[in-house]
Amino acid sequence: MRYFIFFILFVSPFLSWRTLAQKSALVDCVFSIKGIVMDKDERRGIEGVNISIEGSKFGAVSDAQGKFEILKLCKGNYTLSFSILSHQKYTQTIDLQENVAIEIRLVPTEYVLDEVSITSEKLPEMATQAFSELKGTELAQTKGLPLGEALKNITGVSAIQTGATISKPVIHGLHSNRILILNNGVRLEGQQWGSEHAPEIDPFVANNLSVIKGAAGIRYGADAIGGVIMLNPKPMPTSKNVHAEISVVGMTNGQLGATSAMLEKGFDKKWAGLSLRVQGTLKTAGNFKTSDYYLENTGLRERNFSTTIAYQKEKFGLELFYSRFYTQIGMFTGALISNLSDMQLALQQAKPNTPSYFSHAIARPYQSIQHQLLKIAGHRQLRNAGKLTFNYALQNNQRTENDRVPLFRPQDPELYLEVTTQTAEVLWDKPIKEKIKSQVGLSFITQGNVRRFAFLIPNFRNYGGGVFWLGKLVQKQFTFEAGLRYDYRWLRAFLQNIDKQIITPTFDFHNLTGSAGVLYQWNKNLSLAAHWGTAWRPPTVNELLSNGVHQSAASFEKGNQQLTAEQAYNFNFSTNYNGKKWFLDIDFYQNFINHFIFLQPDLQVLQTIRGAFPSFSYTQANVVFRGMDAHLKYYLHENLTFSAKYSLISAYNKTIDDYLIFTPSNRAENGLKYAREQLLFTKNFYLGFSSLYVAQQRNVPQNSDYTAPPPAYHLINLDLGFDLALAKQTLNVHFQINNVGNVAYREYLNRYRYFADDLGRNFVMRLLYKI
Amino acid sequence: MFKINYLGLLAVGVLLAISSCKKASEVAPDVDNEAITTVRLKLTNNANPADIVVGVWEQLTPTNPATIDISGANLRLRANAVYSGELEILDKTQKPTADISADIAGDEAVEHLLFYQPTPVSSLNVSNTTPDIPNTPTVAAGSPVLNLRIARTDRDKNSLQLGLKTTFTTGAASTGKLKVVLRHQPDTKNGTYGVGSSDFDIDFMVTIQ
Repeated sequence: MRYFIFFILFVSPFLSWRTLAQKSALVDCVFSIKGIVMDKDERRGIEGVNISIEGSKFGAVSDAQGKFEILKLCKGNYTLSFSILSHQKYTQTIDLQENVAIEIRLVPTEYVLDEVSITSEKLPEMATQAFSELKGTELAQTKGLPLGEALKNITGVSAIQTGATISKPVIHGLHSNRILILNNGVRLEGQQWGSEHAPEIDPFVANNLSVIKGAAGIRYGADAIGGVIMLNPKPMPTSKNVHAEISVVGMTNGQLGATSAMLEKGFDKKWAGLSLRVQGTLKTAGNFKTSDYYLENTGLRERNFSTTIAYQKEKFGLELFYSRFYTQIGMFTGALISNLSDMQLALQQAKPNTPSYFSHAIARPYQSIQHQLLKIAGHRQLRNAGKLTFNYALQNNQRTENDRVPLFRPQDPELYLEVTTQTAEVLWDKPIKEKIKSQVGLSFITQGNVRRFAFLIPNFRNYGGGVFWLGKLVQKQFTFEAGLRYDYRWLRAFLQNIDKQIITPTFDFHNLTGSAGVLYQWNKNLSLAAHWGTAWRPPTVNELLSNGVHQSAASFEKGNQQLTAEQAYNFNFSTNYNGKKWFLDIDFYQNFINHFIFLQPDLQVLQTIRGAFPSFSYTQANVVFRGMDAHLKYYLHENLTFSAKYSLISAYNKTIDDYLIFTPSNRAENGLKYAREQLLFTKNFYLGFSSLYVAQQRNVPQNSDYTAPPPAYHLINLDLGFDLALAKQTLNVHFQINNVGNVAYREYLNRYRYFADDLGRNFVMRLLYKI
Repeated sequence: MFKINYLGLLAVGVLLAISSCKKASEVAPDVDNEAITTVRLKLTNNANPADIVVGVWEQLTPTNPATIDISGANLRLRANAVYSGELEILDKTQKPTADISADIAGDEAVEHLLFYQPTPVSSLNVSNTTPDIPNTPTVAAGSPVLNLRIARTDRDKNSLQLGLKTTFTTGAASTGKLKVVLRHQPDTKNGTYGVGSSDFDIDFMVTIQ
């Protein structure tokens, strides 16, 4: 996608010139400019665009197809301006020597500032790397879902789930500590090592969700082995009018209700440049339902709040951002197991033997998480020396896990973990020449973790620092990129040994990583890119020092203090074709990870007073992830589009010649979308049908799981959306039916698959009203 | 001017760094809200009250298998005898030691159910009634099994069995294991094993002679 945007903004205006090759008569003023004005994303003509030639009375207005024509022009230089309220104004200079036909693509107003900020901020980053984003209608269709579920709409991204409410994104088979999530530019730091610890993020804040697929360790530092997820909020307002947005989501399954509201305001005159925004989300759900029974205690509460104050001037800007995320998530009582024999018992049952009923109440066991983020960021344009950006963030993450009501201290949780993280980053962007850009950056991180109650991971403190350089050279149709980074990490844990004495095992790691990429813009439709990147990840504290029963997994997990850092070598080849009839985005990848850390079954059972547990030890091996993501669209008709998304992946442990566990299954999604700009009293009407097929995961290692992966499944989803004019504003309406056939299925990456089916049919309604 | 501002902000950041963190170096003790460390089974011969057999299964740190002590988890019973059983469940991580069985006998009775299962059982069920515990290993008919039958003698306020108090009836001389499981079944207790999850799940070695 990135090349696509790059192409739209920079290449298309130059390449899309089409000369009609009509040798005109020698009379001077007989030339014409014909053209079509299209929407950047939607590939539809825009009606009513005002096209004027600056400094003249000539002009035109585009018709229903977006076409326009200006006749009887003389030879010479003209500046055409294209303006319409719904889109960003665009000017194009034309040296008219003969009849000309042009194609102009306008950027919707909503995205304008975003695009500008993307280009200015992201140019030095890896444009040659596989990149996808979710925004506009596609993003709106995911409102109310957890982040991990929303991102499943991007090819190559899947999710590790613990039921319907806990969902962690997986990029090309990698997750948790192997991917980074940037919330408004800040790397999210919580207890992300746990597979039932979902990202503490309110997706309603995002105006754009983007994913870098593959190792991106140079820019973002340690841990970005699998990729990076970025949540970008809307750019701050410039208008002095108060602007509001209200979003309401209702789902029948779980009787989920979510409301998110946003208020923002810019200033002018004396306070010009200042802007404010407040945003909040409330979400509630009760017991979710499979195709034929309810899942007891699977409700959810969420209360989120964020506010931004920004001051933006031509040469510098400052931003203060605060957000608080709070959630309480019920844990399915049917998935409560104490030991191996409980697990075996659960597997023998066709359905859980917990009662099936609906309730909004959340009882123990549940988890509750509060995540606060304070960010201070600023940038300054230096005279002849580029741009300096800095970003400081303080995050505090409090996680409590409550098991069943205990005999003693029934008010206390079983587990409390509080991690406080500070990150700071200084970036210096310098264009060396017009076509060479360079970025130098310094980053720091420090973390302190405090635990109470049961022992799962120890207290720890860590420090890290990194320095990097990224360069970019644009040479005609080629774009070259390269980067280099050095990182250092220090970690000290504090825990009691068996004699109750405090011990402080200390670890340090450092690493040098590099990357290189090239993008070739073959023609205006086709681009090819190749990227080689590296990234590393130091072992986390749970991998080094855990020692005990992981209750929800019914396993005894042993840490290993001898672990070394993981090192990833990632190769990507992607092609993007965007033509009149076809859109095609294909990405091949190969990710070699040396010293990959994973839990290996010891093939022995440990007896404890709570029963028997299979034991697992953290160990390392050299592994490889290979795969392909494809996204294609075929425009069957003006109003009808066929689209398909395919993700193939295979993960292999080269050290022991076996597959890797919990690798996402191959999947294919095919869809048809019928869209009309205007239908009866509605605008932007569409009707969509999609069919998702998820294959059975057959490539699994021996003796590593409690049961075989679930069979393949096939789901049908329907979509209906349109805009209504309401009190001079627009109301966006979206209906959806998920799992239309109410199919009973289990997903390999859902941890509740041992105990219960996945969700049954779900009717969803989403409303968005902007004032 | 600009640079000074930024340095100021960084200084604020550093101050926050120093002030905002709780001490990672001060390690809180491990607290398990429902640790069971010790299970003590006391059997009194009904024919001879002086004949008392006690088996103890202990793990003082519930998360650490290295602290398991099963040296006392043996029961030597007389053949063709009837014993009255009493189970004591303790949490020795509490000071003073907490008597969990007292809680279970009281308010918690409606949420708990104990299972006693001699193993292996014959595929013809000669020793005990049909195994209550699913997946109990069976042996072919004719193979030696533990000749022991256990009946619960106490009930909760819903008149469902509990199992802290039992009657053990032995048969002919034999050896085997006795699995004892405490099932925690909040809101779901119905007399079967399948609902809820296990609070403890241990084996005693049994010799009937």
